[in-house]
Amino acid sequence: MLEQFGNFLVHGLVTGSMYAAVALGLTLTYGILGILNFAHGEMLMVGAYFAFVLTSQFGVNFLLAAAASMLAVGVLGWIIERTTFRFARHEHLNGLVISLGLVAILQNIALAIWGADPLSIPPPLPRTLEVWGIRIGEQRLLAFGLTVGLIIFFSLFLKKTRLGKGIRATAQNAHVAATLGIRTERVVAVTFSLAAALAGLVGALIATIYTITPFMGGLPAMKGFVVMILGGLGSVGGSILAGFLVGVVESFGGGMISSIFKDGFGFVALILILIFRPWGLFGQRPEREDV
Amino acid sequence: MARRSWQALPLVGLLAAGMLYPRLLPGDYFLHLGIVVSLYIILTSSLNLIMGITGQFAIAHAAFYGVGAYGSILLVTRLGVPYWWAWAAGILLAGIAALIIGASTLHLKGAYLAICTFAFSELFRLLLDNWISLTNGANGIIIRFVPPPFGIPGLFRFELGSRRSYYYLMFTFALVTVWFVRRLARSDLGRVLGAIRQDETLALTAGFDTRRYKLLAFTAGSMFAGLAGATYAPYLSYIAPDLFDVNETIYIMMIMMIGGIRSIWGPVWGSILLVSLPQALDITPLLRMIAYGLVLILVMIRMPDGLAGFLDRVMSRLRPGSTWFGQKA
Amino acid sequence: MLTLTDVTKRFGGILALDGVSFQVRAGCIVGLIGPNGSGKTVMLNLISGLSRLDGGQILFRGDRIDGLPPYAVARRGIGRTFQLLKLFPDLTVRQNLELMRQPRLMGSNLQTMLASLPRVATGPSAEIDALLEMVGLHDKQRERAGSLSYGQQKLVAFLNVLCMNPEPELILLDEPAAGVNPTMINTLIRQVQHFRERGKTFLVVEHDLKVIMDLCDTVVVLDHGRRIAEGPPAKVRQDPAVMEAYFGR
Ligand SMILES: Nc1ncnc2c1ncn2[C@@H]1O[C@H](COP(=O)(O)OP(=O)(O)OP(=O)(O)O)[C@@H](O)[C@H]1O
Ligand SMILES: [Mg+2]
Repeated sequence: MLEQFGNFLVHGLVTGSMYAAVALGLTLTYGILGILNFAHGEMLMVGAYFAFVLTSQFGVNFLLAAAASMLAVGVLGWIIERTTFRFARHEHLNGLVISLGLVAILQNIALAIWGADPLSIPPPLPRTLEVWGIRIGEQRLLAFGLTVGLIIFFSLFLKKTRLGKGIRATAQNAHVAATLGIRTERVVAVTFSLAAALAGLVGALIATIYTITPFMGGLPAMKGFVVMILGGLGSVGGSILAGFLVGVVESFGGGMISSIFKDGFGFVALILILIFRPWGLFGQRPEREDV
Repeated sequence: MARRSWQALPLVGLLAAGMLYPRLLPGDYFLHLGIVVSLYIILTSSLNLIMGITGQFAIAHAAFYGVGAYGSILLVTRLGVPYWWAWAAGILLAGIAALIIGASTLHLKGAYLAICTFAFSELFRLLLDNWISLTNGANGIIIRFVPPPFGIPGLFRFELGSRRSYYYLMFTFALVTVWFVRRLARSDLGRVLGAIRQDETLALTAGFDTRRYKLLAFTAGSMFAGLAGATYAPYLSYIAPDLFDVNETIYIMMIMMIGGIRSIWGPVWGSILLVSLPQALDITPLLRMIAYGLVLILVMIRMPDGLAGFLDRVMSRLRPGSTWFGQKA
Repeated sequence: MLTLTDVTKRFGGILALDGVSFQVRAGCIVGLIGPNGSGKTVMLNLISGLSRLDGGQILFRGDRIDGLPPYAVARRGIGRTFQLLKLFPDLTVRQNLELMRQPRLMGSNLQTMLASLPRVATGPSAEIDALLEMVGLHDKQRERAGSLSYGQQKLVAFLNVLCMNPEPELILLDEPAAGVNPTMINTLIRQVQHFRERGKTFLVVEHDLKVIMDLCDTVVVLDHGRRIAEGPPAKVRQDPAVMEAYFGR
């Protein structure tokens, strides 16, 4: 019983770390662009295929390939922001449709190149560990470690560095930030590119645990949105904690209540929490006085 | 007064176009296209009421479309209810579902509302997928009946035997939806809905119980989605959970945006374009989807008001102040 | 008409209002002044139901109105304007006023709500004409409200309140003169006086002392969420506590 409990918890935390990383990217883009970017999942997908090509066709070491994916998807993000989203900032519906256009384009390009059959990257650490009855693949631990490391790095980056402060200032109020001498144009592009890079890395990691298909980005993006709202929009720490929470809730719900309904537990949690806290778990309670 | 009757002209134009269409472009293929366009006119116009006019960023429209479809079909196949009664019940069920979901989510704003309604929508799909004894799960339900004729004995009678008659039925509902939304948008009630979109706090302090109004718009819009589902399902002769998932809502939203949000006619332009465009692009499906994506992005960047806004701008060059193609609500 | 007792409001650690009490008598124009951040807007938000009290109570014509939702407060007869201008920018000036005049749908009566469905409020209204005439916006009535100048928009926001249905008895104005040119300020002052003569009551938040001097019968001074003075404008102006709050020592 206790072992089972431990298994659920550990696996939930591993999945949760992925959710947290995706949600962190979404929160950053939402904060800075005011757009629900449905194409964020496709950044994951591109990262996964990129790592796949590097490892399987060029025999690059997985860690190097993952780093390269991160870089490549970061550059892709930059290009996308400059050519599309830039024209629809804070126009949430227009921006959303643009992101859907990107989804269609990226998915179908991937489909044209790699087809619909699932691919995978052989995990560099294929063994399974067993500690106190908790069984977990080493690869999952590696993915967990890297994701958590990156999340910590990002949070510190946002808190401590000049650019990070610029990002937060721009997210709060772009006009004021601009008058304070922050180059908001650049900040927006950099933020978008960072969020994409984060997704690229998560994509490469997911590729070693699950499979790669042109449509693999959909589900994580949806989960990411749920996590982002659950955490409270704009709260970086909130979306990270909520990511782990949803991962664990799904793991326990799927294991103990119903495995086919696994994906539903996060939604139920979201709905229940929003009924009592309409501003999310860790968001700021909005006073009505927007006056 | 003369001005008022001119403003009804586009509606008359739509009626004429819809009635002439099967004659101008005969054949099953075009009838099918006409039915699908009509379906999306119903779905987008009603979403426009919720999202465009009232400004509620709720993304569960396809779920209500699904409640209408599954509700009516299950009543027929499981309980043997006569189709037209089941049809009405399907619409009613969509309304009840909207009341419940609306009452528990409409206090939320923006992205919070979007994602919370999205969660409801996904739960509905999961329910359909997993309540296999009732819904046959992901395999869906094959519909083997043809809706019986309906009418009032001695007055009129409408047979749904042919594709052609189905077209006229769907088109009539599309026309009714557009008319209803147009009427509503210009009524006192519609003004309040628009006011809520523009500044909800101000509407509140002016004495409008905004939650009630939002709920009304949400329920009315969702019932039209239910109507679309209940009417379209027997024609499609097959329903499955993923026809009503969040991707479908997103597709409906996309048509609305490309056509022109908040415009009465935008949904019509959008449905015609987006339903027929993929068929018209005679290239491989992959390239077609890529081209489709590019069109979406370009339209949103170059014409943020969609086709309706664009047509209005072109027309105002000819006749200043003309809003025949757009008619912002 | 309006009685505030020990009104308290906290935001996290900040005490925005700390046990403030005062009264607004029917037919009076009361000024509410104080340095930036002293809690004036918070006070109006509490009265109009936009935020909840943390302590104390608010009586309007003898009934408690704290805890009521904003629309219910409005229907009892309290209208307000906002410091950051609020109107319906996509409607024309006239449509703004027409919207305000619409009957509010009372209680849970769905029928009245549906009854407003087929009606279109385009009929002529002498009252709206008269109001527009008075402030000189008659020739702008068909323009989008959002396209007017800032000062004109403020006038529209003011007219909006007057057009509310049911008619407000108490009107709260949050810095009506800020950002408005002197001619229009005078128009505004005249309007407020005019409506006071017709029996309306006003609570005016304002930084422009001339407006306060010209208009108000009584002035309440807030500082750091506390009431530091109350009395006729001329007297309050000499009050040492007020001088200190405004100019420091
Ligand atoms: N929603 C809120 N959340 C947190 N603090 C708030 C909020 N609204 C107001 N405050 C705080 O309450 C205090 C009073 O604010 P208020 O807006 O009432 O000032 P004011 O007297 O209207 O000033 P001004 O003349 O600048 O309009 C301020 O310290 C402000 O920071
Ligand atoms: Mg203020």
